[in-house]
Amino acid sequence: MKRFQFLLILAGFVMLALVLAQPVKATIATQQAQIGFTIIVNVTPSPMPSSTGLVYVPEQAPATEGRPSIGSMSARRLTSSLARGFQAENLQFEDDSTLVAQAQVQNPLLVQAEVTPNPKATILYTDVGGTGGNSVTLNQTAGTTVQYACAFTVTVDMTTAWSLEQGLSNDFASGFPGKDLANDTYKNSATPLPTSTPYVVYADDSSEWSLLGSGSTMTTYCVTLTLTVPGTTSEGTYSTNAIFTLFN
Amino acid sequence: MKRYLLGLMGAIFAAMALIVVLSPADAVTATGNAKVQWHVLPIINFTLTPNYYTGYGSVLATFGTQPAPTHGPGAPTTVDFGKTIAGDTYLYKYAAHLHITTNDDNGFLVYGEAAAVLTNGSDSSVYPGQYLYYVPSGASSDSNTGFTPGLPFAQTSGSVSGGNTDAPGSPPTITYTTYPNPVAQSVAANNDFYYDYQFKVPPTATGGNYYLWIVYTVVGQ
Repeated sequence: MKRFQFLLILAGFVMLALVLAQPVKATIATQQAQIGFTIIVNVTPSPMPSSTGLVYVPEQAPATEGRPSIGSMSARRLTSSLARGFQAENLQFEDDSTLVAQAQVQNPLLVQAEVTPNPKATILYTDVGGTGGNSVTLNQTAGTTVQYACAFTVTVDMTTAWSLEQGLSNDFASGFPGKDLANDTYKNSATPLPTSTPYVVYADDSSEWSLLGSGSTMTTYCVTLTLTVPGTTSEGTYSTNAIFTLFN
Repeated sequence: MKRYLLGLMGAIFAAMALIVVLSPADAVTATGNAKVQWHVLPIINFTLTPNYYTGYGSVLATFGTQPAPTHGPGAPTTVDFGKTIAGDTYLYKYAAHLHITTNDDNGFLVYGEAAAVLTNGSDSSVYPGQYLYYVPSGASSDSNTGFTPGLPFAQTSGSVSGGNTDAPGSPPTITYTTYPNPVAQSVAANNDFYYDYQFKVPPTATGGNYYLWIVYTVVGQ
């Protein structure tokens, strides 16, 4: 009798475990592939006065003695900051002196890797790497907002149920957040959306991505970017990574 | 008599002219100023050390806990990422240390460029574009991952000689007519720079052994 009760209880636990496992199994999505590429922003300084109050003022050429001058300058009027000549008397050059002129020094470094083709390269891919390089480069002036129509595409090629998540890995820099880059991501066969949405930044947004879309057929997304470069951004090159992760 | 006087005067003038002509040149001393201008080129010592710190090697770009670095057989002489998969991104920790000393009070500029395109030495296929990136690191630690924003090594527009094999003994040199944008600069005469590398493997890469030469050039300011 005790053995029967034990088996009955055991069977009950097994059934309970099976029942509880069903909804869990239904919600677990398995990562199938992940791709990433770099978004590079080359920032040129704003011609407008910045909020820091720094304004470029062209320097006036020195006036000549009562008459205009075009492209000429008297040596007598050179300021000390411009005149870098040296004057000396009784110069003597010794026969055994040695002159060392060394303009530059180079050192090379060999980088190697053993590459294996990606078996999942056909289920998630972008056109960014296909045209040379692995980056999208945006050239923009500080303090401006520019839209880049269909800057790149992302394609999912799966015929079973899938979902695609997206986001940026990091901010461009302190004071230049990743959310300054917005995306209007729409199916290639459809029309662009009326608005753009700032990217989720994984490093800032609780280590989470945002859902781009889902389906069960091959789908290509066109991504129009809208970038706002803060007016206080210094001239230079900035970058972040666009990440796309495919689940099923 | 008149003819005699005229002859005598002519002889006197001729003698005076001869004296003037035959006078030593150093009797006339000319003085003046000479202006000499020159530009002193700095002396530069530059040491490049790959795999400069314990724990160097390649890590697959991963969020969260980072895997232990590994490397290929070329290390520590070269930066060898070892086994990689097309389309993935890898971080190579402690890839390069640049130690530079100069006598230039204004400091120096550092240029870093790829001497050629990424090449698969196994089937000679080439991949134009930017696949190798650099990320500032530290002398003995950093928090970089494969997703840390990096900047690409551009392929040089200078004149390259050598470096068309993946043999460490055949390095390339680049001759510049115009320097590119520097990867680093120093206002101090002496400085150190530490870099991790990122390899963003082309998604369409065929299987094989790949190589790329990076050439650093240091120039005084």
